[in-house]
Amino acid sequence: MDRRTAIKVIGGSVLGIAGLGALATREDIIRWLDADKAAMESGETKAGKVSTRFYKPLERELSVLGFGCMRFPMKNGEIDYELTDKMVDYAYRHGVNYYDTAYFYHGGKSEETIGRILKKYPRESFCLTDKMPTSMIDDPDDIPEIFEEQLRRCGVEYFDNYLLHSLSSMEKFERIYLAGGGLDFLREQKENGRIRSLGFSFHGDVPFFNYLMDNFTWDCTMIQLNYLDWNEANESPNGSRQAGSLYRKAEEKNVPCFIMEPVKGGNLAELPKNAMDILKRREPKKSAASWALRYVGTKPLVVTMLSGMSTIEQVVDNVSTTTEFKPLDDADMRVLNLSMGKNDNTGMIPCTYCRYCDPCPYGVDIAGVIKTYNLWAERLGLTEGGHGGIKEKKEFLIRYKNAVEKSARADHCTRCLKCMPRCPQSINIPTEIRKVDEFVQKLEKDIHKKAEGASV
Amino acid sequence: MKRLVWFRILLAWAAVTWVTFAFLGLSRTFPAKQQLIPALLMGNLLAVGIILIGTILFGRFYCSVICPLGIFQDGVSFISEKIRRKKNSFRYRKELRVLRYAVLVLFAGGLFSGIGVIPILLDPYGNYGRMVSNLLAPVWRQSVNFTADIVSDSWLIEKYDILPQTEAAMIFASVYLLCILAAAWFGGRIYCNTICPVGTILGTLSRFSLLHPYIREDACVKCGKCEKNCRSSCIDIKTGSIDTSRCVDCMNCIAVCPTGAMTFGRQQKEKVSAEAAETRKTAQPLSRREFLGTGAAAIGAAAAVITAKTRTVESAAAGAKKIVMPPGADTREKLMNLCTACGLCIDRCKGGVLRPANLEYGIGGIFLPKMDFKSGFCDYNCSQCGKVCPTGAITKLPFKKKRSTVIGKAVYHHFNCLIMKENIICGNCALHCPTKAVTMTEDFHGKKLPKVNKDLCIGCGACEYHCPAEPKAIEVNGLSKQDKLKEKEKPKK
Repeated sequence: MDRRTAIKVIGGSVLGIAGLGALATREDIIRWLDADKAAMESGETKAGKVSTRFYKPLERELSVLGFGCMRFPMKNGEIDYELTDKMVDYAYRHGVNYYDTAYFYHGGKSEETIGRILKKYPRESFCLTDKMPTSMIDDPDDIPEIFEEQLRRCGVEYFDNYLLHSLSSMEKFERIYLAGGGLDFLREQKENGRIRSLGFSFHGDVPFFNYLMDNFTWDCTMIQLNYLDWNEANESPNGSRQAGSLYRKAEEKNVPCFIMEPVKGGNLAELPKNAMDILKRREPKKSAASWALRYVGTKPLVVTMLSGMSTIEQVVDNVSTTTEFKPLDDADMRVLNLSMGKNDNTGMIPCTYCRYCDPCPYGVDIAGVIKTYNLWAERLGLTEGGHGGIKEKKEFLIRYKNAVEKSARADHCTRCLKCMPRCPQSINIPTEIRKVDEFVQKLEKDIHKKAEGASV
Repeated sequence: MKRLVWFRILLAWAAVTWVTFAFLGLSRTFPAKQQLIPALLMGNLLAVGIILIGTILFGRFYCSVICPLGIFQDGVSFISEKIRRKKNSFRYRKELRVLRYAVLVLFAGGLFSGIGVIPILLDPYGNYGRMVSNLLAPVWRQSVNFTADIVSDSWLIEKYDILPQTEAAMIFASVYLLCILAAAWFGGRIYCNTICPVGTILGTLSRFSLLHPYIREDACVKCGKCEKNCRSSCIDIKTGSIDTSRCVDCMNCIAVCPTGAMTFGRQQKEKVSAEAAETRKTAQPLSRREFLGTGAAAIGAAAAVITAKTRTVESAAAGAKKIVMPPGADTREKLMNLCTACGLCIDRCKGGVLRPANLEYGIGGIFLPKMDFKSGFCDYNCSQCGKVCPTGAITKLPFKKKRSTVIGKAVYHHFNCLIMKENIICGNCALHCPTKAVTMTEDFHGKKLPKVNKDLCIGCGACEYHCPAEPKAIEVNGLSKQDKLKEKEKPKK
């Protein structure tokens, strides 16, 4: 299988040509990656490189696509190192030079893994980002220790980019980073050259963002931005739908932006059929995720957007989207808006499956439950106004049963509210989980009523 | 005539597949209900009549084309013959009559006196059922789940909820399986012809069966092939006689007979040679020693039954308080008298709440179905267990009746509740109660607490299953006699 056909095969599955991708085993993928590497080294094929943008604080070009290290492929509950290594290598060869990890991704294994993988490339050729785990820190005195541990875990002398992870409350920011001296320590490290540029990643509300922007100088910021979360200047921010406000503030202060969740945790990679049809009419061969990436990349202040890629299909698709990157033009934007119009009011829960809410003290698989609901409830016509019948109801129950283990289903939620403050999207998780539970109970009742009615 | 063996094999395959599929939830449970002991317990006189009259007419066809355990042993024996390449390994053996009837007496005693454990351990169908339900079904479920994961992109296959295995039942089934394997591997039908009480009952009848295999002396060349191929070891070529009490109509002898001397049909009296008749006379009747032996065994068995009975009653009384029986079991006595613990209801339980008991019912009720609210709760709209029960131990209830059958009563333990311990107003018990028997009410501090309305509670255990507290803040106590909800207090809906 040469590279071109392989891309067709793998790309084909990305585009949803049923079955093909599902048949490729892990070994097939590894073999294909090896073949691709050999072909590139021998100069047989010339790979296009991912487009780059100039990032002033580091005085260098960074790839538009960054490799997020939060969703590595797994095997038997552990990171599949071999496959991860080859996937990263594929991305690296195609010009991806931005890698983003954090202290607690993959339960702390992410930093080690990416550090080990990147060891074999020249240090100057890539940009490595790490983050100070704000949510885990209680005592500011731990900060130096954690920072040293991060350098050790990654096996590097310095971080190109260093962010305060997930700032969401002013109280904690002031306590840890201002009063506790965390920010001073990190600025000191920047003077020492162990941090090359300093910023923060953000999960709070707009006033807090404005406060951070107005009162401090930052080299960069990382915000959540995608076409669903964007609000126009005349729209007041609502929940996670505040990216527009954040971006405009950063623009005002001229702070470069790094973007997380450009595909909204994969939500925008799987669109409802009617929305997808509209996009397909414009770009028959492009995936839904490519639209999401192009939307983000069209914003001029964006340096790099991060995608936590866990399959080779995603890597290939994202790399091909960002190679010779084409921003959305006005016509494209109209098509996207049209598809979004169809996308409104689907009853979807705005979850990105980041799993920051884990672990639930009562064992509920929150992200799994919500994901099943988001993926299937609307698609099967079971939300309000839908036309789903008994067959669809049964299908939903089977999907739910298959996706979530018995002890991890929504009916075990106790409304203990432990998950709520952890959610970066400010979703009222217990309410939503109970909503799903009620929904499931209602389906069961409906199905039984129908069956009993038929038997009488 | 030689095609009879293929006919038998075909029927046997059909029967064993059907029964096994019934356990895996792939087919209806009709064949399970035609097994002799379940049919007897159920009072299914048609099935019992057909089997008994059929046996008098044709011999023990039941053992080779209806009984799954018998068919299973045939299969094991077949494989053993292939692997050991000793197809001709069988020899005529004398009937172990004392042992046979002693076991039968023990079995009958257990059945009539309600010592469940004896029929449970001896009923061939129940034993087969437990092997499938404890050993095969878990493997089957795991492989279905595995397949479902692989093909999830193209096909939607419903996965099973994997429930923890009950160790005692699994160990017992494994031990039993090993014994059966060993017996069938080396001895063919030896189990059916010495231990199995059903084999003894039918054997007694088939002693006098109208049609059976016999040797036409004029055509027989005494090659001995039939004897060597007889898995029941019941053909004595020396005397030219067949012990029809042990013959299970497998028809192998007819298939291997080179001269066609072995026939299935009515043996004409006059065709028996005088000499052979003489030897047979001495061979057949009960000797005095055997008679005394049987009598002693019977008395021993009866004594064992009685002592066991007193003991079971005591132990049942000791652990009696909590156990919850499936809806339709009615009284504990009925369940223990009728159930042979085949595990069909457990395998087909939609809520995953029925599990084999250990000693909760006492030793007499080992492996009987019990409600385990740790693994699930009784689905308000399901009456599978009664529908599938082949012995009538769990009565078949229409949905309406099932929903008003009270199998237990929920009790709320204030101090275990999350509301008291962690101030979390969880309300899961009230949220999942199908009859609205549990509601959240405010106490005088204005604190919300669950309250059980005993008149509405049917004991389904949804509250206990969903209770997050450990130990449970709400639990269901079983009743030794199941009840009906009173008409006027039934929930409107």
